[in-house]
Amino acid sequence: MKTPPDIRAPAPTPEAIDALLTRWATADRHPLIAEHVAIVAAERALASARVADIPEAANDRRWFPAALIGGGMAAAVAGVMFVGGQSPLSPSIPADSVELAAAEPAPVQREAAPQELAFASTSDGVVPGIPPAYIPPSDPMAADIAVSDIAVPDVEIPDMATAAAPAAPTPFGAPRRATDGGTRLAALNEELAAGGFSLDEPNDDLFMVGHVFTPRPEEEMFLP
Amino acid sequence: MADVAAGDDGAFRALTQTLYGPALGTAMKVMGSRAEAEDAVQTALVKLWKTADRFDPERAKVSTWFRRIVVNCCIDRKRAMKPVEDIDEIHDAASDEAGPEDATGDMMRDRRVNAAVMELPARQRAAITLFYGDGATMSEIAEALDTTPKAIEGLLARARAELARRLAPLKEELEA
Repeated sequence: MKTPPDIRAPAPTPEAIDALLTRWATADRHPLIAEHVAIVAAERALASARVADIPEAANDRRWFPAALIGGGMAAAVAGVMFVGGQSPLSPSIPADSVELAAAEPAPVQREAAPQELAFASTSDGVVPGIPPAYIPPSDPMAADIAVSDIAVPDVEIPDMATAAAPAAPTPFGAPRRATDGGTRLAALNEELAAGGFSLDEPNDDLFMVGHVFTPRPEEEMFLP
Repeated sequence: MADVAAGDDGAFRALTQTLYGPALGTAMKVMGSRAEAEDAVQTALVKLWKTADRFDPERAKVSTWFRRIVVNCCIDRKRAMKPVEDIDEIHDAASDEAGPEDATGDMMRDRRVNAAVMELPARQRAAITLFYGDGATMSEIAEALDTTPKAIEGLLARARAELARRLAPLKEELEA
């Protein structure tokens, strides 16, 4: 029942207030507690106090989430760079930087030992088992080394103009040059763009280029 | 208590069994909720274990000292909580219910008093709990709340005046 706003009832006497408060304060002062509740509370308190007393554990709790997130991001970046053909540990030259590529000397093949020449391949200038030595442009020794001085017999080395020239663009972007420090890739078929390129009716070449993932086990069942 | 200060788990468990019930009753009065009271007592137990070496048996009993820890934990916890629902809204909601309170006037009155007390600041509610519920002296309450007995007298006077204003509609029921 609410009191009308213009007629206020007089306040109860102090004794009445004391009685009300005493009744309120003494009611339910001994709540029902199961036997195990106090023991469980004690165990929880001991565990909480001891965990908080271990500084190493507190430090672990602080840096572990940051380490987890940072490690995950680093692994993701390294994975993307690996798939893209770049080594995360060595710098690479942008493929579309023509000016930088023109000023850059051609990669120099180091002189192979006689026993290594036995395994040399003469097909595309790559010598298996002999990593090409990369001499940065700022190295003054690079200008003094002539290709003829270090050329290996029967090993084809591209000249500077061929190595520095940008590759022709394709419908899938500019291919990576052989001198950009990355993996050597074969040039994409340039006839693809001129030969009726259509996403609605892809030919076999486009189909094969567009699908780079290996088939799943259930798909392999239908392969001949 | 000396064993607890020395790190004896068994002594701490035995002491907890003795102190837990009264501490929970006090905390329920200050917090207004059993769940919140249990959390506050849990925090107080951790403080008891950590600060057992500071206990001075010549100054107070263990129960008094632990009650002080519990009350302070309750006040700290209450300060961190959102304010409670307005008392007028509580009264309106209760008056709309057609429940047992219509038949039992005492229950209805207790609910109104409880709602009015819960509107008070946590320190005033703690002082009322200790003064009316535990029969603590002004000095004991002042020690529990880290203040002076004179300040506790003022605290209780303000709490009583505020409750008298809020509970004025109950005068007729009290005199009946």
